[in-house]
Amino acid sequence: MEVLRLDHVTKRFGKHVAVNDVSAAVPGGCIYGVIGPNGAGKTTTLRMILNIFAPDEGTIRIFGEPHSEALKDRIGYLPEERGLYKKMKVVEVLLFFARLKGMSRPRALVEIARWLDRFDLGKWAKARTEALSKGMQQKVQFLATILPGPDLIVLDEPFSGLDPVNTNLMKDVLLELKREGKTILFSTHGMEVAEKVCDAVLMISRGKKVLDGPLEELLRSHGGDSIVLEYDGDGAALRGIEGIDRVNDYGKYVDVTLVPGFDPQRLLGALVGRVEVRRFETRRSSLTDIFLRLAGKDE
Amino acid sequence: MRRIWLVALREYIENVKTKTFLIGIFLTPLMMAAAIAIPKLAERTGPKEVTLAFVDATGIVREGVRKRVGEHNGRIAVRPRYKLEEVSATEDEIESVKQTLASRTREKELFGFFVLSGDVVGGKGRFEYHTSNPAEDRVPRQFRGFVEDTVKLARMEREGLDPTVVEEIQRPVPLEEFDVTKKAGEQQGSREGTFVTAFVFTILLFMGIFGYAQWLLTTLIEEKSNRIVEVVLSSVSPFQLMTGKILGMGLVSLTLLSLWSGAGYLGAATQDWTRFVPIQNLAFFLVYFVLGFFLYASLFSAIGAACNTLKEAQNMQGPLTIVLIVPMFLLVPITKDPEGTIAVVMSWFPFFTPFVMMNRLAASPSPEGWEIAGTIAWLAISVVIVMWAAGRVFRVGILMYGKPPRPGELFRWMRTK
Repeated sequence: MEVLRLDHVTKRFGKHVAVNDVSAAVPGGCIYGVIGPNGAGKTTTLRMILNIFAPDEGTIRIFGEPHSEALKDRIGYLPEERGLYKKMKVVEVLLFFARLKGMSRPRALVEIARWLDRFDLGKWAKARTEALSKGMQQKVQFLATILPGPDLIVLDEPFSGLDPVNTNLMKDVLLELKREGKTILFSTHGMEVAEKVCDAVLMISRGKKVLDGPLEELLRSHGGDSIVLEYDGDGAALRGIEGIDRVNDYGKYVDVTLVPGFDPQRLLGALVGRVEVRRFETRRSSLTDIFLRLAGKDE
Repeated sequence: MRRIWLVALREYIENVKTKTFLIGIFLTPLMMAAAIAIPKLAERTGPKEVTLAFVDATGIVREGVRKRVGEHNGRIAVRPRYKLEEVSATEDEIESVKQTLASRTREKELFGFFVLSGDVVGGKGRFEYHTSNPAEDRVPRQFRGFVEDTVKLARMEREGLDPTVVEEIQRPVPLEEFDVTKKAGEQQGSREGTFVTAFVFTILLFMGIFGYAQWLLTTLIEEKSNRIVEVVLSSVSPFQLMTGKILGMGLVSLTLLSLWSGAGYLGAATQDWTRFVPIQNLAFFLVYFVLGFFLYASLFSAIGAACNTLKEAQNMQGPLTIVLIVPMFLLVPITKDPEGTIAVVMSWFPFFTPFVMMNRLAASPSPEGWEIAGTIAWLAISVVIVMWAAGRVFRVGILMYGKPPRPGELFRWMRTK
């Protein structure tokens, strides 16, 4: 079942086109990533999904229907720019947001207790949110989003600023929610995270869609071979070698993307003699590679 | 509606819990009471008893003054009481006596001294007061009275007039004032009563509306800058958020006003002043407060939503503040002439209606029934229009960060989809 569909959606702010003719479909019960660099239009896309902005052109359908007040209760949203009421206690804040989503007070209190324990925040329940550390606040904000049990969970850069322990905790919870049949859509500029947890992605750059679809399929069809290479010698040595589509120099090593179908062995042959090869490792293209290749073509 | 109510409830509870609110309950009336009480208290301060020397070279005033000082000291709760030291001196001795008394005064043995010489009854005398405490003005004021009364009596005797006849001639004619618009036969209270009621009503309305609409703006900017609004906006629409916040803050203000006016009404009852406050005026107060609050609070919310810092907001709300202050300047003229052109015309400007109408209702004659109904209806319509427009600006502004908009841009925001 399709939970969300964007149909030729465009949003302008003055002369600036933030989102340009983007279409995508999000199947139910999956983790869906909206990926792209900073300023690509991810947050604007998410805000339109939440109906915080209306698109200038195109349509958005959620659970098969256009946006309505009633739908708001079924969607949870964690904005990138997130805050809490500083003077309120953790329990009060969570209760307020749960009740806004239509949860009854007694049920909300039960859920709050359960989730606070799960996130190791039980003893902070009565503390004012301003007394919490930044990481704890972020967990409370995340809880406020998922606690009312929305069917569609929209998270804007949920992992940014979290330490590895909490990143892992949040990832586990997202996978758990997916197993319960919830649909999770999140944006990130960290492609590595997306590659690890997403079932499908929408890749955008400067407002335009680069590609979208199930992750496995994308990696198969767009991911040529890529080679991790370490060598002693002049970096300029790689210039002009046949079969190289793109070189990404990380300093300690370089990431070489080959022209599709080009045999890595021929590259190795070409390198020997020019530089001293210390590491030569073939691997499948990552999302980052694909993104750099596809989005880079526009430049 | 559920969402508006939840937003309002949170706004109410969180603000009523703040120290600002708790302090406001007590501090404002306390300051008002102090403003009234301090001048009265000042009357009761100062020395309890002072010793004065009285030099009467004329020899004819001494006795009268002694008698009046005795009467004065005999009254209850007067300040100061006088201990009089009568000093005899001829016209020639005056200068040396003055020197002696002046040095005694400097040494604090005396509070001061009076010197009377020459032909006072004939209008050619001299009356002097020497003191080291010139700030205490009650002493010379009272003694001038004592001396003048005595001298006047002496003048009457000189002209062969019987003082009791003169007193009879000077007896005042009391004037009783009635207000025919009040209950039949009911005597109009003092003019002060009407003025005080008009002032209290208008100022309470002003504080309730302006103070809390301003506070609403402050909380809004705070929530915008700490980025809580977007979280809330995923659950409620911008209009619901705005309405909820106005409702909640309005209830905070109403709570405070109820506490104040409840206490004020009880206080007025002990002074038999409640006749200046017909019960229907309290109902009108509620109506004008609610409508006025929604009117101003929606404008302040729109400004708060459009700005990122309090400083920006202060610049933008400047014109609005001026509008709000106009009825305060008109308080006296409207109370004096509640049916004058200014009062009648201003009643129909929605931004002035609550203040001017409340002012007129407290004054006399009261406005006509159709005026009350008409201005309320027109104000209600204006509230709907202003809230709609403010809601449009709010919706765009609340998630807009960066440079504050120019006024022209605000109008464009109203038209955006």
